[in-house]
Amino acid sequence: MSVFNYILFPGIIFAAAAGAAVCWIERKISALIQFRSGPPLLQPLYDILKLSRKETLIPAGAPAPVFLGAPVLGFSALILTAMILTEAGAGRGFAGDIFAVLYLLRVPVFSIFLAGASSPGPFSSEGASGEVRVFAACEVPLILSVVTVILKSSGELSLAGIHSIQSYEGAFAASLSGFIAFAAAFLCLMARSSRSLFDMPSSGRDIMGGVFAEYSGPPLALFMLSGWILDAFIPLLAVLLFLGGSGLSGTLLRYAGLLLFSALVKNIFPRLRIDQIEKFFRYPVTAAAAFSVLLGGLGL
Amino acid sequence: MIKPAAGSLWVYHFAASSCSNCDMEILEIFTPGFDSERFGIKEALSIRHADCLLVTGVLNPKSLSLLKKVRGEAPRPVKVAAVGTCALDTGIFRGSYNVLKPLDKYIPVDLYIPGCPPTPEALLSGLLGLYGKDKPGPGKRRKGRWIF
Repeated sequence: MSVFNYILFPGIIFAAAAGAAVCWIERKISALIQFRSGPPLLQPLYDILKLSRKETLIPAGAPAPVFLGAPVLGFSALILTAMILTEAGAGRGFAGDIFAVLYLLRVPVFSIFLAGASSPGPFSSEGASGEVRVFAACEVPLILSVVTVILKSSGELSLAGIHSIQSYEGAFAASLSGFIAFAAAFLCLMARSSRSLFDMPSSGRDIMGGVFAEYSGPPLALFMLSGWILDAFIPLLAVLLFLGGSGLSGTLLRYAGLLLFSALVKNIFPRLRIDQIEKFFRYPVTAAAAFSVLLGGLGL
Repeated sequence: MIKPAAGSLWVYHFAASSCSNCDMEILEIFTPGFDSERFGIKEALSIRHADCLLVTGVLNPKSLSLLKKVRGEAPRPVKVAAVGTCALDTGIFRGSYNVLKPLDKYIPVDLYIPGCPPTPEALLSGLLGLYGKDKPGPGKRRKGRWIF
């Protein structure tokens, strides 16, 4: 890993560009579904440039190091996640990087919680508590589905290894236990990136942007970029774990399909309340994920 | 026909005791029919995200103090647009016992959009006019309130 890797590919520039592209694609799909023409191609770039020229306000009573450190923490963790996932998609990686990714995906939640807790507004606190409640509910089924994947790949612990096993044994999602685990994990990952029906913690209409209500200027731009990177790389994680695909084109095709599917889900379903999300993940999804571990252990 | 423009402008809607017709026309520009997103114009969720304040209605002492407070909470540079005849020159309410002077007598206004209410086309073309101006809005960055 050289400086080139950290800055350009697969580091900051690549992750941000991929995130911006995915953000544009999703906004365009939403626009087409609503019979609009949608934003121009460079709209994410314009938003980021505009935010970077604006003033950074620190609300009275907010601890400045925590308030400004939170977006940097989440952004740097997501850059690392994006680098590991890109490397794994290209067939490189290290044993146990699946745990590294699972660990790194928790850091943005922590950063969002810090952001909400350090802002003095009631909307921010509400958003932060919602984020943590959703996180606590969807963590167990996510880990259980990853356990199913590890069982099915007979103990393989690197993402690239899991991916390459599926290229000759067929996708895990094609088997019964794999499909149940895939559905559970996909729901958890969608909730983790606060998307579509699970975006109550950062909802605009109800709590004015949630944790981001007090953020302005460059820190808000960092949070927006982090959200886009999360949106871009979470389908890649699902593809590597469950869908396989031989070669770059097969992987990218599955990735595009998953992205389209999640964009459609986002536009079709209304959002759920926090307590509904909690109940949904705590009982049916956890039970399904546990059942998939059982089936995976039996070799189904 | 509105000229295609590129940029990013998040507008915050401040209704200073309007009759809510201007407010309905403002909401109209976000609908699929007018699709302000193709020009990068979005509704700001919180005042901290706002680039432009759309002020509608006649000012009274109470709404003026709130408006000044809200404008102080917005990150600079922030533009102010007076939307509708009432905000421009108090319209048919001029001389009423609780009505103050027009908006630009109290805070600097960058954009005047006349009409009772202004059409969504007028709103969009006015807002797009803000893209050409690269000057910062009213008020420079405040001392001690900014970092970068």
